[in-house]
This record gives sequence, structure tokens and C-alpha cells, in this order.
Amino acid sequence: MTTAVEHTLLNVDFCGVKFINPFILASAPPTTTGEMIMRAFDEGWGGAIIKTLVPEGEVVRNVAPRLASLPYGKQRMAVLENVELTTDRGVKVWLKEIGQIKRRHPRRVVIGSIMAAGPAKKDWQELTRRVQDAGADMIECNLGCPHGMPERGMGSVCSQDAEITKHITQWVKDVARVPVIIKLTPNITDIKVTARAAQAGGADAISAINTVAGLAGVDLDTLVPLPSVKGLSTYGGLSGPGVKPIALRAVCEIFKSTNCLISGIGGIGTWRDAAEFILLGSTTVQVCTAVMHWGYRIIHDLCDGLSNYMEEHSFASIADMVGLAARKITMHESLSREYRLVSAIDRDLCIGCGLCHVACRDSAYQAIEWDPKRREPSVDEEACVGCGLCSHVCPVDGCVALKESKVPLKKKR
Amino acid sequence: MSGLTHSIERPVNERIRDWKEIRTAVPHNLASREAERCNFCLEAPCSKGCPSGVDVSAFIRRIRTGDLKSAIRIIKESNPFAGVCGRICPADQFCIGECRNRFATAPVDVASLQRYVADVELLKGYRPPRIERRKGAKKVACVGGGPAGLACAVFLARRGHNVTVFEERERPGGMLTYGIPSYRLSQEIVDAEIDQIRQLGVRVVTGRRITDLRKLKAQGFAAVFVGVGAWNSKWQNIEGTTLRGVWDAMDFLTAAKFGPKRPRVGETVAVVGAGNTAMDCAGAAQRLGAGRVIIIYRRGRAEMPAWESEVALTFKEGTEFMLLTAPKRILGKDRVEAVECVKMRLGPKDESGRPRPIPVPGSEFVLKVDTVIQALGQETDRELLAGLGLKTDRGGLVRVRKNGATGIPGVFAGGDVTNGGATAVEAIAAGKAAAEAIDQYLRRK
Repeated sequence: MTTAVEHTLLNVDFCGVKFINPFILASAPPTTTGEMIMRAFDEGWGGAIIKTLVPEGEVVRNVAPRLASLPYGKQRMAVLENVELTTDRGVKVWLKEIGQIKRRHPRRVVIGSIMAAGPAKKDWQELTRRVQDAGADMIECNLGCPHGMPERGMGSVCSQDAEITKHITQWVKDVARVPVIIKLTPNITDIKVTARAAQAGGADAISAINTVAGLAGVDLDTLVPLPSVKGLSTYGGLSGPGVKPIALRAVCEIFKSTNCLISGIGGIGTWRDAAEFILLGSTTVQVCTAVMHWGYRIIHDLCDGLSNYMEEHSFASIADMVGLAARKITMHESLSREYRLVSAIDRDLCIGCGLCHVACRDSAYQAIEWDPKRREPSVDEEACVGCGLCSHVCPVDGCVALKESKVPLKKKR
Repeated sequence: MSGLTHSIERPVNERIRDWKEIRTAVPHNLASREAERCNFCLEAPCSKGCPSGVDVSAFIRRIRTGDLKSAIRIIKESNPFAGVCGRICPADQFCIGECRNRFATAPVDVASLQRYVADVELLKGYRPPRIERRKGAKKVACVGGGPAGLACAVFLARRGHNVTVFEERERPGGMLTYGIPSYRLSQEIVDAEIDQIRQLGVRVVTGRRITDLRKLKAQGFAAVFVGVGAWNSKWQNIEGTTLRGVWDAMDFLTAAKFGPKRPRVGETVAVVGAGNTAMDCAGAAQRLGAGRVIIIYRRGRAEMPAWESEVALTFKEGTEFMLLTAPKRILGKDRVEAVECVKMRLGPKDESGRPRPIPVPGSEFVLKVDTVIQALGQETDRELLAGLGLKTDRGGLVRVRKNGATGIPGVFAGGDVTNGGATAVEAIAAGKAAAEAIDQYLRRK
């Protein structure tokens, strides 16, 4: 089977580094070893970020289990929680492997991920030098891991503070000969503040989002939160399809408030997700949870789908797409008040479940009437405000839509 | 019948009044829900189960991610008859039979998903990717325009060869066109997929019977693929077979589909035999307005050669099955009026490995019928094959190696002519394997 992993449409320049396609393996379990990254490159991935390196002397010991997941309906792993720490393999091992990967895959991009404590200038600079000397094409500073590492003054505590974010960026930039990406946490009131701080520190790019702090659930028999490590648990980081809307907002905000290039992360599993991230401002995209679910092989459908989409829409390059949808985000105040929509139910498709009526009756404006004999809903256009709830609850695809209407709204509230 | 087919099957009373397909188009929501059920298994057993090697889990993943353009490309890469096989392939024996979900819930309905992709993309105006003709391309002839010959032509054309398909009948498609009724496979789909093959640069010449391979060689064809099928009906020579109203199954199906006049079957139709063609004849007879259609078969239920799914379909449409029964003679003056039958019992296994049917003395009875259709199976045209210089075995099948090589340099064969009559997808697979072998042969030359 031939696929589009090397399609020229997908070639992209990110901070002066050439990628054959915009798909990067995020710093995570899929990049646990150099051997794994080389297999991913064999399969067609454009780049990979190694699992985060910490200063020598930091002891990294992981727990079991370190994952919990939330299935939703038939969707397994709609949200994945992890409490895995940074790499538990030594710095020297990794430096050797970075060289091996580059020798075998000179056209693929290897990005060194590094992490140190907020005030540890020496550590940041030493890791930067060693990783770039080993042959990494770029460096990503992990300021976003929300579990475990913050207890040591590392990870998300760094990018929860604008000053620290800026200082770390400066320190790293001072010694870096390769482009520097700052990876931010979403677990903050306003990500624009830390994004601007990274920019002020001289960051070439920002990657967002790191995982969302969370707690997957509680075992109701043992009363232990998940994941249960011999009867105790801790907060973790969430990823997967469920965090995508949080990530999209973060990417769009960073795009609109800084000049940094963006590597989008958060729930990307299909080419459609990737296209959305690019249209909202990402130049490259990072994938983790979907690979944990399906394996490296999804790179083929990611590339096939994205290149087909680009051809259909006549985009000549990824750069042509970046941020096109972000322009259409405005203030709520600027949205039209004259645009009048009402619900329209397709009688032929309606199965008579009554969910639209219940939703409108109990959570909207009582604008959908119900004929119990015929089991038929009908829209009172004078009462319908066009909120759209009915179209979201309807179990039949395409049965309820919103249409423009000239019928004036008669308030009966 | 698995999965989706149940949801899209038209009600019997409606469908036996017309010749439109039994199943309606697969709706988008059902297709995407079914695609969600695919586990994207390691080393996709479904793909290994497909004779033509379609990468099943890859195309289903493309449905799942909303990229039908890639889905059709993936299917067509291995099988030029995506829409055809999505309809008529006994997928329970192949991909669906291998689906690992069968151990959990129910297998994924791969056939319906393939049909969905092919239909949607056909409506959108699918065009096969252009191919470059190789410099110094050799001329190759495919004799017989059925699925084997056409598939062979496709895979040769993709390797840059200059291919001509010779079909003796008026239309290409072989059994797809002449042997399968339109309610199982719409002719529009067959024609559309053959058009796509033409768009690849394959020449399809119809109305031309090839009887001498040396002449082809003289015309500059460097290699030949023989896929002439098995079209001769086995005929039971009992008294009365010359009466009007006695049909050969193939002639009957062709007349039912293309006329010039559709057969007038009268009130009661007896179909002799219980293979897939017999089931097709019964379905066609139902649609021609017969009041009563009876399958007459000398062995029992377990021995019927038709696929389970076809038997179920035929039964559902109201055809009666008279098992352990054999016709003895056909009665009538000028037209068929009745058939005299005898009951059978099953004895020990015969050389075919099935229990031998033995007549029960004194059990004769007369059945009033207006039409008798003999559907006892097909065999190859030995005379034609001998003329072509091909060696056949005792059963009349052309002997070939796995890659279709006949032993005569540059001459390959595959499909029904080598296997005696199997599925379209196996004919396609044979054509594909032969194309590879022919390509290698031509490169060595």
C-alpha cells in the first residue's frame, strides 16, 4: 500500500527546520526509546520528541499502574489519564541514541525534550548543550508536566508562572544553537500570559497543550481514586479526544496573542483533528494518545487524509492553512444579533423519540410541541430562539437542522 | 447474512416485483457506525482472508476518519471490482469470516462497507489514477472479458504494458454481466467499473472470438492470458428436453436480463439443481411473474452446493425446495406440461465425496409445470481450449501453475477455466497473480 507520508504538499518548515510532514510524536510513551523512534520514522512520522530528560542525579522511579482511562459509549480511551514521570533512562543513553536516530534517519526531525527545576539555570543550560551536541535538530523545554514532577519544582509549576517561563526560555536560548520550543501547561487561568512570557524570553515556538490536570474516577468498591497504586492514588494528566476542545482554544489564543510558531497538541487522532489545529494556528502537530491506542501505523491515514483535504481545498502548503480559522474568532460582543435561526425537523427522518421536545421543554424555551398520538414533534417558530439544543440531542443524523427564519420571535417566557 | 445487510434489505413483496437490487444503498450513518466497530487488528486477518488481498482494516480506518477518497484508492489498489465484490462476494467465507470480532460480538460487515465506499465514490465521479505507459511497452492480450481477464489487464496496465482484452460476446463482464441477475448486481455498477478499467488505458474489444493463439502472436502480442471461463451448461439428457419451455440456465439468465424478449415462464417453474446459478434462476423466475417456483434437487439440504446466504435469500422469496428428488422425464406435446420425478435416498459416498443419490423404486410422481430450467453446473469449452492448444485435465480444466503459467511460454490462464467455476474475487485474484507472472516473463524476455 502506498500512502502520502512523503507527499510534497505536507512538507513544512518549522523554525527553519524541514519536516517531510507536520506529524510529530509527542514526548511521551511512544518515544520511550531510540529504537521505538526509529521504527516510527520507518513508518513515516515527520518528527519525534524524545521522552523528557532530567538532570543527571534526579531519580525517576515509576509506579504501576500509571494509566487510567475513561471510555465513553463505544469509544475506548475517550480520555486517558497518566501519572508516568519523565524518562527513567539515563542522559548518556539518550544522547547516544539521538545520534543513532539521526544517522539512520537524517531527513527526520529529532527534538530533545528537557526539564529541570525553575531556578536551576545550570541544569537547563547543560541539558541544552548536551542535547544539541548529540545531534538534536530542536529542543523542547517541558514546562508543563502536571503530575509528580511539580513536587520537585519541575514541570507545570514552571509554566504556571510567567517570570519563571521567561527566565528558563532566556537561559536556554542563551546557549542554544538550534530552535527552542517552550511547552506550556493548560492548567492556568490565562495561557496568553505565559505564552507572551515565552515569546519575551525569545522562544522560537510554543507547543501546547501539555496534559490537563485531572482525576479519572473512583473505584466504587474500594473507594480508591484511579489509577490505584496499591490503595493510594495521585492527580494525573489527561489526554485523548476529550481534551481537544481545551487544546484548540489554547492554540488559538496563543496564535492570536504571540508571534511564536505553534506545535499543536491535545487529542489529535485523525487528519481532521490535525487540520483543525493547523487552521487555528499550529504549524506542526503532536500526537501521543492516538498512537498509544492504535500504534505508529496511523501516520498513513493522517497523511492520506490531510493531503486529500489540502488538494480538495487547493491549499498549496501547510503554511497556507495556518491560522485561517483563528481569524474568525472574535469578541462575543461582535457576533451578529440579527442572525435569526429556528429549528427545522425533517419529518421523513424523525423516528418519534421525543428527545427534542424534552430538551426544549426542560432546558430551553418550550418551542417544540409534541403530538403524543402521532408521536410527532413540531416547531413553534415564534417561540424558538434557535439555540440548537434539539439538533444536538437528536439521535438521527441530519434530522434536526437550524434554518434561517424571518418569523419574529414572540417572547412567551 | 451479517451486519448491515439486514438493515438495508428490501422487503420481499416489494423486491420480487422489480429487477432492482435487493439491497438499498448503505446509508452514511450505518456505515460509519459499522466502521467504528473495526478494531484495526494487528496483521489484519480480514485482509489475509481476501483472495485479492484488499487491505481491509486500512480502508475501514479511512471510513472512520472521513477520508473516502483514500478508502476507494486502497480498495482499488488490490481489486478493480470494488462495487461488484461489495455486492456479490460471499465475504462470510473470506474477510468477514476472519474478523476477530466474531469472538466478541459479531464480525464487521466488510462487504457492505466496501460497497458503501465504492458507491459514494462512484457518485462523486471516481476516476482511476493515470498511469504512464512504459517505454518499449509490450503488447499483451487477455482472451475473455470476465473478471479474471479484466483484472489481469488492470494489473498489467498498471505495470506499464499495452493490454487488449478480447471478449466474444456483445458486452464485457463475463459472468458478472451474463450470469448474475441485476437484482443481485446492478449492470450499471459492472459497466461503471469496466469503464474505469478502460480509463486506465486498457482496450476492450467485444464481439471477437479468439480461436488461435498463434494469430495473436503474429499480431505482435508478446504474452496471452486466457480467462475464457466455463460457460457450457451440463445438460441432463432425459426425455423431453427438446420441448419448448425447457431452458439452459445460462440462456435463461441472459434472456431474463437482456432479452430480446424476456422468457414467459407461465405459472409453475421447476429449476433443476441447487447451485448458486439455480438460486439465481429461481429468483429470476419469481421476478418474471411465476406463481410457484420449485427447486428440484436429488440430494439433501446439506449437500446443496449453493452458498448458505443464497439459499436463505431464495427461500425467503418463496421458492420451494423439493429435495431428494430427481426429474425422470419431461412431459408435454409441444410445450412443457409436466415433469415426472422420482424420490431419492442417499447411499454411500461417491467419487465426488458426497453421498450418492439412489432412486427409490415406485416413488415416481408427476408435477405439473410450465417451465423447466436445467441448472446443473457449468463446464469449460473443451473444443475451444483444444483449439487454443491448451492441455486440459479429465474435468476439462486448464492445468496451470500457481502463477497461472500453462507450460506454453508466454501463455497464462486463470479464473473459471482453471478452477471450474468459483467466485469473482478468486477469478480477480487469479488474473492479478497472472499479471505479475506475465510482467516477470516479459522482463526476462
